[in-house]
Amino acid sequence: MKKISLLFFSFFLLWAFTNIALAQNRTSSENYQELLGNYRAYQSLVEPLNVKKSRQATLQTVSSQAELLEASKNLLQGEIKAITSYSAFIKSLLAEATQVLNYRDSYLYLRLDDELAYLKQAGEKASLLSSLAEVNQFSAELKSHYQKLKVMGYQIKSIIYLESAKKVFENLKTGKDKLNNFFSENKESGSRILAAKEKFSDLNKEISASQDLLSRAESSLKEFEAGDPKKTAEKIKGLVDQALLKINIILTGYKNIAYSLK
Amino acid sequence: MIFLLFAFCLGLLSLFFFGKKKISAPSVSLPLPKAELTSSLPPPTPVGSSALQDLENDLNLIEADLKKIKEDTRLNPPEFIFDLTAED
Repeated sequence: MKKISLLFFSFFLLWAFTNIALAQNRTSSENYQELLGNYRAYQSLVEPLNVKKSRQATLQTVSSQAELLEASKNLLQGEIKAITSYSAFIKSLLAEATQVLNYRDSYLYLRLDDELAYLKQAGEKASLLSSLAEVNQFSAELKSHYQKLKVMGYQIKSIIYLESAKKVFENLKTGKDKLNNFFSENKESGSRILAAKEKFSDLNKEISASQDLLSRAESSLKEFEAGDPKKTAEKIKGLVDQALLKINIILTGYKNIAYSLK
Repeated sequence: MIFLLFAFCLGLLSLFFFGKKKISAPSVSLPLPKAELTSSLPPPTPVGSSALQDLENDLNLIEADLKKIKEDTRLNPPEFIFDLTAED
Protein backbone atom coordinates (compact mmCIF):
# COMPACT_ATOMS: atom_id res chain seq x y z
CA MET A 1 0.00 0.00 0.00
CA LYS A 2 2.87 2.29 0.95
CA LYS A 3 4.62 1.54 -2.35
CA ILE A 4 1.48 2.34 -4.36
CA SER A 5 1.05 5.69 -2.58
CA LEU A 6 4.69 6.51 -3.23
CA LEU A 7 4.24 5.64 -6.91
CA PHE A 8 1.15 7.89 -7.18
CA PHE A 9 2.96 10.71 -5.42
CA SER A 10 5.91 10.36 -7.85
CA PHE A 11 3.52 10.48 -10.82
CA PHE A 12 1.85 13.59 -9.38
CA LEU A 13 5.20 15.33 -8.95
CA LEU A 14 6.20 14.44 -12.50
CA TRP A 15 2.88 15.77 -13.84
CA ALA A 16 3.19 18.99 -11.84
CA PHE A 17 6.77 19.69 -12.96
CA THR A 18 5.92 18.92 -16.61
CA ASN A 19 3.03 21.38 -16.44
CA ILE A 20 5.24 24.11 -14.93
CA ALA A 21 7.95 23.51 -17.56
CA LEU A 22 5.42 23.61 -20.40
CA ALA A 23 3.86 26.81 -19.07
CA GLN A 24 7.27 28.49 -18.89
CA ASN A 25 8.23 27.44 -22.42
CA ARG A 26 5.05 28.67 -24.10
CA THR A 27 5.57 31.04 -27.00
CA SER A 28 4.05 34.52 -26.99
CA SER A 29 1.53 33.42 -29.66
CA GLU A 30 0.38 30.53 -27.49
CA ASN A 31 0.12 32.83 -24.49
CA TYR A 32 -1.84 35.35 -26.57
CA GLN A 33 -4.32 32.65 -27.62
CA GLU A 34 -4.75 31.72 -23.96
CA LEU A 35 -5.30 35.39 -23.10
CA LEU A 36 -8.00 35.69 -25.76
CA GLY A 37 -9.76 32.61 -24.38
CA ASN A 38 -9.56 33.77 -20.77
CA TYR A 39 -10.65 37.31 -21.64
CA ARG A 40 -13.71 35.97 -23.47
CA ALA A 41 -14.50 33.82 -20.45
CA TYR A 42 -14.16 36.90 -18.22
CA GLN A 43 -16.47 38.95 -20.48
CA SER A 44 -19.12 36.24 -20.28
CA LEU A 45 -19.22 36.80 -16.48
CA VAL A 46 -19.98 40.53 -16.73
CA GLU A 47 -23.64 40.19 -17.76
CA PRO A 48 -24.57 37.74 -14.94
CA LEU A 49 -22.97 40.18 -12.45
CA ASN A 50 -25.04 43.08 -13.83
CA VAL A 51 -28.22 41.00 -13.47
CA LYS A 52 -27.39 40.24 -9.82
CA LYS A 53 -26.56 43.90 -9.18
CA SER A 54 -29.97 44.95 -10.52
CA ARG A 55 -31.69 42.28 -8.42
CA GLN A 56 -29.87 43.44 -5.30
CA ALA A 57 -30.70 47.10 -6.05
CA THR A 58 -34.40 46.24 -6.41
CA LEU A 59 -34.91 43.53 -3.80
CA GLN A 60 -32.30 44.27 -1.11
CA THR A 61 -32.75 40.78 0.37
CA VAL A 62 -30.23 38.43 1.99
CA SER A 63 -30.68 36.06 -0.92
CA SER A 64 -30.05 38.73 -3.59
CA GLN A 65 -27.01 39.94 -1.64
CA ALA A 66 -25.61 36.38 -1.45
CA GLU A 67 -26.16 35.98 -5.20
CA LEU A 68 -24.35 39.25 -5.86
CA LEU A 69 -21.43 38.14 -3.66
CA GLU A 70 -21.17 34.87 -5.57
CA ALA A 71 -21.33 36.59 -8.98
CA SER A 72 -18.68 39.14 -7.86
CA LYS A 73 -16.34 36.38 -6.70
CA ASN A 74 -16.82 34.55 -10.01
CA LEU A 75 -16.02 37.69 -11.94
CA LEU A 76 -12.93 38.37 -9.83
CA GLN A 77 -11.67 34.82 -10.45
CA GLY A 78 -12.17 35.28 -14.20
CA GLU A 79 -10.48 38.67 -14.02
CA ILE A 80 -7.44 37.29 -12.19
CA LYS A 81 -7.13 34.48 -14.75
CA ALA A 82 -7.25 36.91 -17.69
CA ILE A 83 -4.80 39.34 -16.04
CA THR A 84 -2.43 36.43 -15.34
CA SER A 85 -2.61 35.45 -19.02
CA TYR A 86 -1.86 39.03 -20.05
CA SER A 87 1.17 39.11 -17.72
CA ALA A 88 2.45 35.78 -19.07
CA PHE A 89 1.94 37.03 -22.62
CA ILE A 90 3.91 40.27 -22.20
CA LYS A 91 6.65 38.40 -20.32
CA SER A 92 7.05 35.83 -23.13
CA LEU A 93 7.05 38.58 -25.75
CA LEU A 94 9.77 40.41 -23.83
CA ALA A 95 11.80 37.18 -23.68
CA GLU A 96 11.43 36.71 -27.45
CA ALA A 97 12.59 40.28 -28.08
CA THR A 98 15.96 39.80 -26.34
CA GLN A 99 17.62 39.74 -29.78
CA VAL A 100 16.60 43.37 -30.08
CA LEU A 101 16.82 44.37 -26.42
CA ASN A 102 20.01 42.52 -25.36
CA TYR A 103 18.66 41.99 -21.85
CA ARG A 104 18.80 45.78 -21.34
CA ASP A 105 15.38 45.85 -19.79
CA SER A 106 15.74 42.78 -17.60
CA TYR A 107 14.35 44.69 -14.59
CA LEU A 108 10.94 44.36 -16.25
CA TYR A 109 11.17 40.56 -15.88
CA LEU A 110 11.65 40.92 -12.14
CA ARG A 111 8.67 43.27 -11.85
CA LEU A 112 6.53 40.93 -13.95
CA ASP A 113 7.55 37.99 -11.77
CA ASP A 114 6.48 39.96 -8.68
CA GLU A 115 3.08 40.65 -10.23
CA LEU A 116 2.66 37.01 -11.31
CA ALA A 117 3.44 35.91 -7.73
CA TYR A 118 0.82 38.37 -6.43
CA LEU A 119 -1.79 37.12 -8.94
CA LYS A 120 -1.21 33.52 -7.86
CA GLN A 121 -1.98 34.46 -4.26
CA ALA A 122 -4.86 36.69 -5.34
CA GLY A 123 -6.67 33.74 -6.94
CA GLU A 124 -6.67 31.92 -3.61
CA LYS A 125 -7.65 35.06 -1.70
CA ALA A 126 -10.61 35.80 -4.00
CA SER A 127 -12.19 32.43 -3.28
CA LEU A 128 -12.18 33.23 0.47
CA LEU A 129 -13.98 36.60 0.25
CA SER A 130 -17.02 36.57 2.53
CA SER A 131 -18.71 39.98 2.13
CA LEU A 132 -19.39 42.69 -0.45
CA ALA A 133 -17.18 45.04 1.58
CA GLU A 134 -14.29 42.58 1.27
CA VAL A 135 -15.02 42.26 -2.46
CA ASN A 136 -14.71 46.03 -2.92
CA GLN A 137 -11.51 46.19 -0.89
CA PHE A 138 -9.96 43.30 -2.78
CA SER A 139 -11.08 44.71 -6.13
CA ALA A 140 -9.37 48.04 -5.35
CA GLU A 141 -6.15 46.16 -4.49
CA LEU A 142 -6.34 44.18 -7.75
CA LYS A 143 -6.93 47.42 -9.67
CA SER A 144 -3.73 48.98 -8.29
CA HIS A 145 -1.73 45.91 -9.36
CA TYR A 146 -3.31 45.95 -12.80
CA GLN A 147 -2.35 49.62 -13.19
CA LYS A 148 1.29 48.59 -12.78
CA LEU A 149 0.85 45.82 -15.37
CA LYS A 150 -0.79 48.24 -17.80
CA VAL A 151 2.23 50.55 -17.52
CA MET A 152 4.57 47.59 -18.15
CA GLY A 153 2.48 46.48 -21.15
CA TYR A 154 2.69 49.90 -22.82
CA GLN A 155 6.35 50.21 -21.79
CA ILE A 156 7.28 46.86 -23.40
CA LYS A 157 5.32 47.78 -26.52
CA SER A 158 7.22 51.07 -26.85
CA ILE A 159 10.63 49.57 -26.05
CA ILE A 160 10.30 46.81 -28.66
CA TYR A 161 9.09 49.28 -31.31
CA LEU A 162 11.84 51.80 -30.56
CA GLU A 163 14.66 49.24 -30.30
CA SER A 164 13.64 47.61 -33.61
CA ALA A 165 13.83 51.01 -35.30
CA LYS A 166 17.18 51.73 -33.62
CA LYS A 167 18.61 48.44 -34.88
CA VAL A 168 17.62 49.25 -38.46
CA PHE A 169 19.03 52.76 -38.05
CA GLU A 170 22.40 51.40 -36.83
CA ASN A 171 22.59 49.12 -39.87
CA LEU A 172 21.78 52.08 -42.08
CA LYS A 173 24.62 54.04 -40.50
CA THR A 174 26.99 51.19 -41.43
CA GLY A 175 25.70 51.57 -44.99
CA LYS A 176 26.42 55.28 -44.77
CA ASP A 177 30.02 54.57 -43.65
CA LYS A 178 30.50 52.18 -46.57
CA LEU A 179 29.30 54.82 -49.03
CA ASN A 180 31.50 57.38 -47.35
CA ASN A 181 34.53 55.08 -47.78
CA PHE A 182 33.64 54.58 -51.42
CA PHE A 183 33.59 58.33 -52.03
CA SER A 184 36.90 58.80 -50.14
CA GLU A 185 38.64 56.13 -52.24
CA ASN A 186 37.11 57.24 -55.53
CA LYS A 187 38.81 60.40 -56.78
CA GLU A 188 36.85 60.67 -60.01
CA SER A 189 35.19 63.94 -60.87
CA GLY A 190 32.57 62.84 -63.41
CA SER A 191 29.16 64.52 -63.26
CA ARG A 192 27.52 61.28 -62.07
CA ILE A 193 29.81 60.87 -59.08
CA LEU A 194 29.56 64.56 -58.21
CA ALA A 195 25.76 64.35 -58.25
CA ALA A 196 25.94 61.21 -56.10
CA LYS A 197 28.18 62.98 -53.59
CA GLU A 198 25.73 65.89 -53.39
CA LYS A 199 22.78 63.55 -52.85
CA PHE A 200 24.77 61.67 -50.20
CA SER A 201 25.50 64.94 -48.41
CA ASP A 202 21.79 65.89 -48.44
CA LEU A 203 20.82 62.49 -47.05
CA ASN A 204 23.27 62.91 -44.18
CA LYS A 205 21.06 65.74 -42.90
CA GLU A 206 18.18 63.26 -42.76
CA ILE A 207 20.42 60.90 -40.75
CA SER A 208 20.87 63.60 -38.11
CA ALA A 209 17.13 64.29 -38.07
CA SER A 210 16.34 60.56 -37.61
CA GLN A 211 18.91 60.30 -34.83
CA ASP A 212 17.28 63.26 -33.08
CA LEU A 213 13.79 61.72 -33.32
CA LEU A 214 15.00 58.37 -31.95
CA SER A 215 16.81 60.11 -29.09
CA ARG A 216 13.64 62.04 -28.22
CA ALA A 217 11.66 58.78 -28.25
CA GLU A 218 14.25 57.19 -25.95
CA SER A 219 14.05 60.12 -23.51
CA SER A 220 10.25 59.84 -23.49
CA LEU A 221 10.52 56.31 -22.03
CA LYS A 222 11.16 58.01 -18.67
CA GLU A 223 7.63 59.44 -18.81
CA PHE A 224 6.26 55.95 -18.06
CA GLU A 225 7.32 56.44 -14.44
CA ALA A 226 4.62 59.10 -14.06
CA GLY A 227 1.80 60.18 -16.31
CA ASP A 228 -0.61 58.43 -18.63
CA PRO A 229 1.10 55.29 -20.06
CA LYS A 230 -1.21 55.16 -23.10
CA LYS A 231 -0.42 58.75 -24.07
CA THR A 232 3.31 58.17 -23.51
CA ALA A 233 3.21 55.08 -25.75
CA GLU A 234 1.37 57.08 -28.43
CA LYS A 235 3.94 59.89 -28.21
CA ILE A 236 6.84 57.42 -28.58
CA LYS A 237 5.13 55.70 -31.51
CA GLY A 238 4.66 59.07 -33.22
CA LEU A 239 8.36 59.93 -32.87
CA VAL A 240 9.52 56.49 -34.02
CA ASP A 241 7.13 56.62 -37.00
CA GLN A 242 8.62 59.96 -38.07
CA ALA A 243 12.13 58.49 -37.74
CA LEU A 244 11.10 55.42 -39.78
CA LEU A 245 9.79 57.66 -42.56
CA LYS A 246 13.14 59.44 -42.71
CA ILE A 247 15.02 56.12 -42.57
CA ASN A 248 12.96 54.96 -45.56
CA ILE A 249 13.87 58.13 -47.49
CA ILE A 250 17.58 57.66 -46.70
CA LEU A 251 17.44 53.99 -47.67
CA THR A 252 15.81 54.77 -51.03
CA GLY A 253 18.42 57.50 -51.59
CA TYR A 254 21.35 55.20 -50.79
CA LYS A 255 19.95 52.49 -53.06
CA ASN A 256 19.65 55.03 -55.86
CA ILE A 257 23.27 56.17 -55.32
CA ALA A 258 24.61 52.60 -55.28
CA TYR A 259 22.62 51.68 -58.39
CA SER A 260 23.72 54.76 -60.37
CA LEU A 261 27.41 54.25 -59.56
CA LYS A 262 27.58 50.55 -60.42
CA MET B 1 80.99 13.55 -81.11
CA ILE B 2 82.34 17.03 -80.50
CA PHE B 3 80.80 18.14 -83.77
CA LEU B 4 77.41 16.79 -82.69
CA LEU B 5 77.61 18.63 -79.36
CA PHE B 6 78.57 21.86 -81.17
CA ALA B 7 75.63 21.50 -83.57
CA PHE B 8 73.23 20.89 -80.64
CA CYS B 9 74.41 24.04 -78.81
CA LEU B 10 74.13 26.06 -82.01
CA GLY B 11 70.59 24.81 -82.50
CA LEU B 12 69.68 25.76 -78.96
CA LEU B 13 71.12 29.24 -79.35
CA SER B 14 69.24 29.83 -82.60
CA LEU B 15 66.02 28.70 -80.93
CA PHE B 16 66.53 31.18 -78.09
CA PHE B 17 67.29 33.98 -80.52
CA PHE B 18 64.26 33.48 -82.80
CA GLY B 19 61.98 32.47 -79.97
CA LYS B 20 62.76 35.59 -77.97
CA LYS B 21 62.16 37.76 -81.00
CA LYS B 22 58.76 36.20 -81.56
CA ILE B 23 57.60 36.73 -77.95
CA SER B 24 58.62 40.34 -77.86
CA ALA B 25 56.92 41.12 -81.18
CA PRO B 26 54.16 43.64 -80.39
CA SER B 27 52.12 42.96 -83.49
CA VAL B 28 51.47 39.35 -82.52
CA SER B 29 48.94 40.23 -79.76
CA LEU B 30 45.42 39.85 -81.06
CA PRO B 31 43.54 43.11 -81.26
CA LEU B 32 39.88 42.89 -80.14
CA PRO B 33 37.12 44.51 -82.11
CA LYS B 34 36.45 48.02 -80.74
CA ALA B 35 32.81 47.47 -79.80
CA GLU B 36 33.59 44.32 -77.80
CA LEU B 37 36.45 46.05 -76.03
CA THR B 38 34.14 48.77 -74.79
CA SER B 39 31.57 46.35 -73.45
CA SER B 40 34.16 44.14 -71.76
CA LEU B 41 36.01 47.02 -70.17
CA PRO B 42 36.42 46.49 -66.46
CA PRO B 43 34.88 49.23 -64.30
CA PRO B 44 37.28 52.07 -63.50
CA THR B 45 37.48 50.99 -59.88
CA PRO B 46 36.89 47.27 -59.66
CA VAL B 47 37.27 47.17 -55.84
CA GLY B 48 34.75 50.00 -55.40
CA SER B 49 32.25 48.26 -57.64
CA SER B 50 32.26 45.12 -55.50
CA ALA B 51 31.88 47.37 -52.47
CA LEU B 52 28.83 48.93 -54.11
CA GLN B 53 27.37 45.48 -54.76
CA ASP B 54 27.93 44.59 -51.09
CA LEU B 55 26.31 47.85 -50.07
CA GLU B 56 23.33 47.19 -52.31
CA ASN B 57 22.89 43.75 -50.71
CA ASP B 58 23.12 45.31 -47.24
CA LEU B 59 20.54 47.94 -48.17
CA ASN B 60 18.16 45.25 -49.41
CA LEU B 61 18.47 43.46 -46.07
CA ILE B 62 17.85 46.72 -44.19
CA GLU B 63 14.79 47.35 -46.36
CA ALA B 64 13.44 43.89 -45.50
CA ASP B 65 14.01 44.59 -41.77
CA LEU B 66 12.32 47.97 -42.08
CA LYS B 67 9.21 46.39 -43.56
CA LYS B 68 9.05 44.00 -40.59
CA ILE B 69 8.77 46.79 -38.02
CA LYS B 70 5.13 46.91 -36.97
CA GLU B 71 3.47 48.12 -33.79
CA ASP B 72 2.31 45.08 -31.80
CA THR B 73 -1.23 46.06 -30.81
CA ARG B 74 -1.66 42.73 -28.97
CA LEU B 75 0.31 44.37 -26.17
CA ASN B 76 -2.44 46.93 -25.54
CA PRO B 77 -3.77 46.08 -22.09
CA PRO B 78 -7.37 44.78 -22.06
CA GLU B 79 -10.03 46.65 -20.08
CA PHE B 80 -11.41 45.26 -16.82
CA ILE B 81 -14.16 46.32 -14.42
CA PHE B 82 -13.05 46.90 -10.85
CA ASP B 83 -16.09 48.65 -9.31
CA LEU B 84 -18.00 45.40 -8.95
CA THR B 85 -20.78 46.27 -6.55
CA ALA B 86 -21.28 49.94 -7.49
CA GLU B 87 -24.60 50.69 -9.20
CA ASP B 88 -24.51 51.49 -12.96
